[in-house]
Amino acid sequence: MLQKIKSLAKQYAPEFIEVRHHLHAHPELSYQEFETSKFVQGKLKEFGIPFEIKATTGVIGLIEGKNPGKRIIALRADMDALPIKEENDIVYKSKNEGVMHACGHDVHTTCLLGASKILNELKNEWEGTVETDLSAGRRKKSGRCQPADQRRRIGKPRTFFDFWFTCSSRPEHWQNELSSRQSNGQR
Amino acid sequence: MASADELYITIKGKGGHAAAPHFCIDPILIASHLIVALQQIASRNNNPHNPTVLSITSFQGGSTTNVIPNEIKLKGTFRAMDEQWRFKAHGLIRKMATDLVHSMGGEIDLLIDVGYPSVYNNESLNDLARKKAEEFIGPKNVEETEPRMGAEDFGYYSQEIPGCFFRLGVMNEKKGITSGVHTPTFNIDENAIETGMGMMAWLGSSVNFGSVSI
Repeated sequence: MLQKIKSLAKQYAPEFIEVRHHLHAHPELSYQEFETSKFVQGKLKEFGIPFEIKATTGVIGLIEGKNPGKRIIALRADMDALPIKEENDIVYKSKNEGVMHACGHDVHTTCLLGASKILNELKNEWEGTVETDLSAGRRKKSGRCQPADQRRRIGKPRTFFDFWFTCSSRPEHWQNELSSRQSNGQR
Repeated sequence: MASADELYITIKGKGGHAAAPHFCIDPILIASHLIVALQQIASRNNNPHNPTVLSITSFQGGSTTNVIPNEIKLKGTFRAMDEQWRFKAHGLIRKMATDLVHSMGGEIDLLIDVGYPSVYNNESLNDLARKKAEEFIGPKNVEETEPRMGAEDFGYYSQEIPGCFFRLGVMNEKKGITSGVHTPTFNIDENAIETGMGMMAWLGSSVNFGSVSI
């Protein structure tokens, strides 16, 4: 399975680099991710993954493997951009003046779409259900996320994974914040 | 990552001639005392093992050299990694600000705008995800980081459902890709996309809860 995923990730990387270029060139601010939302819905349709819309622009995809009730995992990415005027000299520079994917949510969304395609393609080879949560804006106060009410059909995921970007590390690097363990959260 | 709450404080005094402070209630001096005093909470009330930050980031009021203004507006941020401490600290901030300003003759409006909770990485999931990452990209490419006091709305998810939040490396000095997030020149080494999508797919397909308590 690991080798299959690695090989599909390698095979699909050029396709998803193009996806990222499209998203990067068309950034939208929080809760205004209308075109982005349509774009990711189009991609999920193309991959044959069912989805539902949440908080106007949020898109929740559902990929069922074998024995879908065995366990449910959610993978999350966000889609909104920042009010920053891009200064990069690149062909896929922001076409939306004064708005830029300066927090990497274009990459975040791209990686989750890429993972969705891979998971869907291999769905006869893994067990459980994966929910892909492309969430609506996050920098405003209201309705930032509603993680609980989206799972009528199969129930609530038992866990969530998400990632962010580190500019202190090489692209093959993956960091986890050990000390977050020390944070005395509620569990 | 930390919780992030915004502080909005207005200190109302009584303006007048700067050469006659005894006829005034000087909100600038009161605000200055308050800024220093609030650090008491971060450095004395808080357990040193518990990361917390209180930063006053805006001090506005007055416009010239010879007038004491009527009021000062302060803004700031309060960050924490422990939800219990977080709300206890809100009470301490309110009490200190109110008592200190009143003791100096001023009035105060204080708003603590409650923002994202801290991102809590479930310990078992963290270990499991680390193992999965090591399988995917090799142990030498997986590292643990210090806690950061930035904030992230994934905190809402992780307070409700056990979660794990990672970081994906995107910098490449050799290619000159070094700008940080939130800058106009931020970009990534696009090799990271293959790692990011593959790793998410690997986690999604292979994490089982049989061996972990969450």
